[in-house]
Amino acid sequence: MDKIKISTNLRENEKYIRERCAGCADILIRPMRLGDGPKVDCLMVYIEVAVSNMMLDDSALGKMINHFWEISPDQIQEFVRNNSLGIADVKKLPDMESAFAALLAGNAVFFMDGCDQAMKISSKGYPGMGVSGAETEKVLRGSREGFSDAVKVNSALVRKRIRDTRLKVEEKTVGVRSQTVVQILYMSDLVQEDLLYELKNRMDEYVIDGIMDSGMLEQLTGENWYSLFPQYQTTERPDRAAQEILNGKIVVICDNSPYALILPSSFNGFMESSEDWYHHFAMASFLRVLRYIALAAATLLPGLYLAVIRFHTQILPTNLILSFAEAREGVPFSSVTELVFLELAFEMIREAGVRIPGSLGNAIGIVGGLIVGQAAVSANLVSPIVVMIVALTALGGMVIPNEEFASAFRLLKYMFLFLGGYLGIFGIVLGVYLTTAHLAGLLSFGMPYLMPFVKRSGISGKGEGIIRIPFRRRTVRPAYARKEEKLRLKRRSDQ
Amino acid sequence: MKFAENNRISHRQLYRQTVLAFLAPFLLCLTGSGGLQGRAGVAGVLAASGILSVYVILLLRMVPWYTDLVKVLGPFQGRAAGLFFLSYVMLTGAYLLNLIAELVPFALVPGVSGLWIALLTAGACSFGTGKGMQRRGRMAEVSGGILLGGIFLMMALCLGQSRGVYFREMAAADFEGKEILASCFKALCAFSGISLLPFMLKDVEKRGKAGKPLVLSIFTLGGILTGILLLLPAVLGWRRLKAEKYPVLPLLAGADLPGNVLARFDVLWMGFLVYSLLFSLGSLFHYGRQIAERAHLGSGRWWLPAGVFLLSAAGADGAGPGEYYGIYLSRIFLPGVLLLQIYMVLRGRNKRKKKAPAVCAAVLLAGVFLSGCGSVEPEKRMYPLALGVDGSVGEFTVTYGMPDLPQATGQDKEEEGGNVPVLTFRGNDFQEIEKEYDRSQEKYLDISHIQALLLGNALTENGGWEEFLNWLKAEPFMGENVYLFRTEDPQAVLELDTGGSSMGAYLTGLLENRLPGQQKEGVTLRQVYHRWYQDGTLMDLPEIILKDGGIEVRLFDG
Repeated sequence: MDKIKISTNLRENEKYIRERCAGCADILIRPMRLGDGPKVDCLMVYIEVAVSNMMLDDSALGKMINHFWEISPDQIQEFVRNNSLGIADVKKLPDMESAFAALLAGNAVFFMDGCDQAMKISSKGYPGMGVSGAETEKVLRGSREGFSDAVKVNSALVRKRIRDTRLKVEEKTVGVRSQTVVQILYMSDLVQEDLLYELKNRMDEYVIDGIMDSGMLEQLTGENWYSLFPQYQTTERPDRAAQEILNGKIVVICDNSPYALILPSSFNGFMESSEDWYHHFAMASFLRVLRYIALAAATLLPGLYLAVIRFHTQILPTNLILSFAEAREGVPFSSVTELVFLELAFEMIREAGVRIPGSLGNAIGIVGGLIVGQAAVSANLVSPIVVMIVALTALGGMVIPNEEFASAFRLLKYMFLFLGGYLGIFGIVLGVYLTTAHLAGLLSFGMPYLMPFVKRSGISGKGEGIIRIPFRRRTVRPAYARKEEKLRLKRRSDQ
Repeated sequence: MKFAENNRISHRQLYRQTVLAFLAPFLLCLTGSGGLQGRAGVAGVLAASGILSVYVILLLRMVPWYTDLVKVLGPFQGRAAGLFFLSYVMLTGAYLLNLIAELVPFALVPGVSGLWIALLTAGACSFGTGKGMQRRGRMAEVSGGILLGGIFLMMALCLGQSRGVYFREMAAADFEGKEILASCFKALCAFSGISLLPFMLKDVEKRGKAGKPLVLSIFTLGGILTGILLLLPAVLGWRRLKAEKYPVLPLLAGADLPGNVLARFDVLWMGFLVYSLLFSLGSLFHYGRQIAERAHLGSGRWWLPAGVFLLSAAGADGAGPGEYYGIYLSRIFLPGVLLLQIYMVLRGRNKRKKKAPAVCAAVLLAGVFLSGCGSVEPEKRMYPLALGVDGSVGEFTVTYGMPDLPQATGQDKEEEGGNVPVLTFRGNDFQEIEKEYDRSQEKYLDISHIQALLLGNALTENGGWEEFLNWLKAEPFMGENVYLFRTEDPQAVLELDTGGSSMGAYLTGLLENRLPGQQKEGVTLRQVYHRWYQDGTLMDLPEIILKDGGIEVRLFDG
C-alpha cells in the first residue's frame, strides 16, 4: 500500500483523518489554535480513554499544550522540528500510515498547519490490569510478579531482571487489522541467529486478521501443528522468562496476553518449575522425579488399572484382586465404561470449576469430588477403587507444572485407557511405542523435543536433566545457546 | 533452522538402536528348542560376536556403495539387489509379526485373534517410519536405556530362582565341537540383519569412528544372550530347556518382587520383550523404505507393511515364515548377502569414479475395539486359590477351593465358620472338565491365583499326574511358584474349614510364615517340572494327612 504523505495544509489532513475515522466514535479529533500572538491551526487526534482527557500539567501532553500557548507559531514549528521541549517519547511521523499506527497504539497524534510531519506524544495508553501475581505458576519461593496484558509492561519486567543492553527487544506488528504488537526478547550474544531468523520467518509467513493472544501466534508458527504436545514453553512469570533468555532461548511477548512464549522448548523444560533453581538441589531433584512419577500416573494409571483387572489379574496380590472383585460386585457397567464415565464427570467438574468465578469454583470442586463421587459409589454406579484411580490420575495431572503440557497427557490418557482396557499390557506397550515414536519425531524450532534425553553431548554442568545439579556445578549453558558462550558460571579467582 | 547435529544420529543412538532391534528376537527365538543352548551355545555366541565385530568394520567401508544401488550396480542389478534385501526385510517382518501374533494371544491377551494383533502391530510399527533416521535414533536413545535396564533388572531377579543343581546338569552335559560350529553359524544367521547397517551408517555422525559403538553393541547383545543361556538352565533345568519352544517366557513365572508389591511380574517382562519386538519391526519397515528408495522401487510406504502383513496372514494356518525362515536365512540370505557385498565392492571399485494417516488411524482404532474380546471383569471371574486333582487316566476329579470373598477381603469378618465354597467336576480328561465348568458356571475360571495344588495319592501312583502336568503346561497364567502336596482325598482337604483363610493361603502360610531360617521348604511346580523333564518321574511331595478334623503336613525330609 502506498504511504500517504502528511500535507502541509492542515485542512487536507483533517479531511483525510475525518473520512478515515468516520464512525469511530472513540477517536477524538480536536482542532485547536495555539501560539502567543498570531495563532497557528493545530489538530490533536487521540483515542478516548487511552489518552487523558484532562491535559494536566503533569502529563507530557499537558505540558506541551501549555507550552505552545506561550510561544510563537515559529517557535512551535521549531519545537516540532527539534523536539526542543525535551519531552520523552515524542516522535516525528512522516506519513499518515505511521500516524494512524501511533494513534491506534494509544498515543495522541499532533498535526500542525504548515508542517508536513505529525508528532506522536505518548500518553497512558490503553487501559490494562497492571502487574499482578502469577495465577497459574504459583511458587513457594521466588518473585510474586506475573506478566500483565500490556506488552510494554511485560518487556519492562524482563528488563528489570536483565539490566544489560545485550538484551534486545525487537518489536513487530502481527495481524493486518489487529496490528498486535509482538516483542521478541533475546540476548544478542547468546541466541543462535538462525533460530531468530527462523522465528521471524514464521511470523511473517501468514497474513492474518488479528492475533488476540499468544496462543494464536503459537499455533500459527508451531512446526507440528497437529501434535498434542505444545512446541512453545509458556510462562506468566518474568523471572522464568529472564532465566530462559539467559539460557540462550528466545522469549516472545504478545500484546493483550499475560503469557510469554519461550522457544525452543523441550519435554524436560515443561517438567521444570521456576522455583526449582531457588530450592536446595536435593529437594528440587526429588520434586522433579515426583513430577515424572505423577506424569506417568496421569497418563497410564487408568489404562494400567484396566489392563490388570481385565487381563492380568495374576500381577496383583490375591487379596487385592479379591477386594477389587468384591467392590465391583453389582456395578452395572463394564470397567471401561465405568472409568470413562467417571473421568468425563471429573473433566466436567474441572471445567465448571474453571468457568465459575472465585470461591464458587472451589465449592464446585468439593461438591463434585465428594458428593458426586460418594453418591455414585453409594448408588453402585461406580466402584470405590475407580474413584481412587480417577482421583490419583487427576492429582498426577495437576502436579505437572505446565497446563498445556498436562493437557496433552490428559488426552493421551484416554488413548491408553482404551488400549489397556481392550488389549491389556500389549495395548499399553503399543501406546508407549506410538507416543515415543511421535515424541522422537517432534522438533521445536529444529531442536529435538526430547532434549536433553537425546543428543547428550557428554558435557557436564548444563543442569538439563531430571536431577537438578547443585547450583555451583551448573557452569555450562544448555545447547540452545551459542557454543562460544557456553560458560555461565565461574569463580572470580579463575578469571 | 536446523540444530547443528540434527541430521545425523549419534554413536549412542546407533548403539542403542542396534541393541534394541535385535534383543527380543534373539532372546525369544534363539534360546528355545533347536536353538542355542548350553556350553556349545555360549561358545557359539562368543565366536559369532568375534566374527561379527570384524564384519561390521568391513561394513563401515561399504557405506558409499549402499547410497544408491542403481547408480553403483546398474539399473537391473541395482533393483535386483534391492529386491534381495527387501526379501529379507519382508520375511523377517512377517516372521516377527507371526511371533507377536502367536505370543500375545497366548501369554497376554487370551481370546484375541492373532490376525488382529498382527494388523494392529503392522499399523503401529509403520507409524512415522519415513520421518528419517533421526526419529529412530531418538526413539532408541530415549527408550533403549530403560529397556536395557529393565532386562538387566529382570535377569538379576531371576538369579534368586536359580539352583546350582540345575546349573550343574547343563555343565555335565556333553557337547561336541561341531555343536559349537553349528551354534556359531546359527548366531551368525540370526545376526545377518546387521548386513543392512550400511543403509543406516550414512546418517551417523563421525562415521569413521562408528566401529566402536557397533562392536560394543554386538558384544552387549552377545553378553545378554550368554547371560540368558546360563540363566535359563539354572532356573528351568537342562532337560526342560531343551523341550521348551520359548523358554524365556516362563523365566519369571516364579519370581518374587521384594516388598510383595506385585504378586507376579512376568507380564512386565513380556512388556519389555514386546516393546523390543515392536522396535525391531518398526526398524525393518524403516530400512525397507530406505532400501526401496535407494533401489528405485518406490517409497514402500504402503506396500511394505501391507506385504509383510499379508505374508504373515498367509502363514496363519501353520505354513508361515516360521516354517522356512531358518532355511531362508542359512541357505539363501547369509551366503547371498556375502556374495552380493563382494560383488558390490568389486563393481564399486571399478566404478568409483512422503488422506492416508486418517485411514490408518481408523484401521488401528477399529482393530483395538474389534480385537478386545479377551477381557473379563474381575467380579465375573472365579478365583480358586487351591486346586485338588485325583483319579486316574480316563476318570479325573478336579476340586476348586474358592475363597470366601467377604472373609478374604475382610469386609464381613463376623460371619466366620460358614460353609467352605468348593466346586468339584469329573471327566475323562482335563479338557472335558474345563468344558464341564464352562457349561455349569457363570463365572470365568481364573487360575492365575492358585497357591496350592493337591494331588491325590491315586493320581500320583497311577501316572495320571503326567496328563495333569501336560494340561498345566498349556496354561500360561499358572505361576510356577505354586506349592504342590499329595493327600489321600484332595476334596476332603479342600472342604475343611481353616478358620477364615482359604486352603491355598493356609498351606502357603504354613510353609512361609516363619522366621527366616525356620521356613519350611515346600515343593514348587517349577521343581516338579524339572524332575519330570529330567527323568520322567514325579518328585516326592509333602503329604497332607487328615487328623482329628484338621490337617497335618508332613514335609519330605531331603
